[in-house]
Amino acid sequence: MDALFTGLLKSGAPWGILCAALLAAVVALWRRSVQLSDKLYDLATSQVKQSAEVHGTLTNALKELEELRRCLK
Amino acid sequence: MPEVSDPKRDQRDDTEVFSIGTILVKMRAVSREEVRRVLEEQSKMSSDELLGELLVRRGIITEAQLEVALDAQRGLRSRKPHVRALAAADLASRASSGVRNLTARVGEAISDSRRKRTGEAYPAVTALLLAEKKDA
Repeated sequence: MDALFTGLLKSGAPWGILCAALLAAVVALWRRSVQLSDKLYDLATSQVKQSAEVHGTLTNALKELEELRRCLK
Repeated sequence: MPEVSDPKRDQRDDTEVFSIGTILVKMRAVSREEVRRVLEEQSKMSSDELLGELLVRRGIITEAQLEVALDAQRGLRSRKPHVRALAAADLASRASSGVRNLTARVGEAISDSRRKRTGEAYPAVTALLLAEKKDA
């Protein structure tokens, strides 16, 4: 990839420089999309973990409420 | 497209494996206890039946739920970052929806207890009791 980029630039031709610029832009966009995907993955997995914790707490609360209801009967 | 490799992420992905049981628990399709019980049964069995298949055969989950979980597993194990991210986001959305349902159930249980405590749940009996109290 780097060799292609350097080759295009070194060609000195306008189309070569244009292609090199386009290639650089595409690579930058691809890298950014990978970074954002990784960030989304991290956020989503952390959300799954948090949901599991909240779910556990709520399940316990529900059990305690059921217990309380039985005691009040 | 060039492959952008992040050694830290690759290393983490090798260790962070989502099993079908874990995914089904996170989807709120089964409880940890049910998975543990079926895994114990599976270890005692001579056949090579998979956990998901056993859970379907026991009627704990439906085939559709198993399909969703298998899709999520394929996505989470994908090498493509956007596929992995979307699978994780889908799982997060399912987990949040489970929490929302449970929150609603807790809310209902609290209002029910409150209604019973204040007599709202039994208006006729409460009226009689109040009348008796007044007479006394």
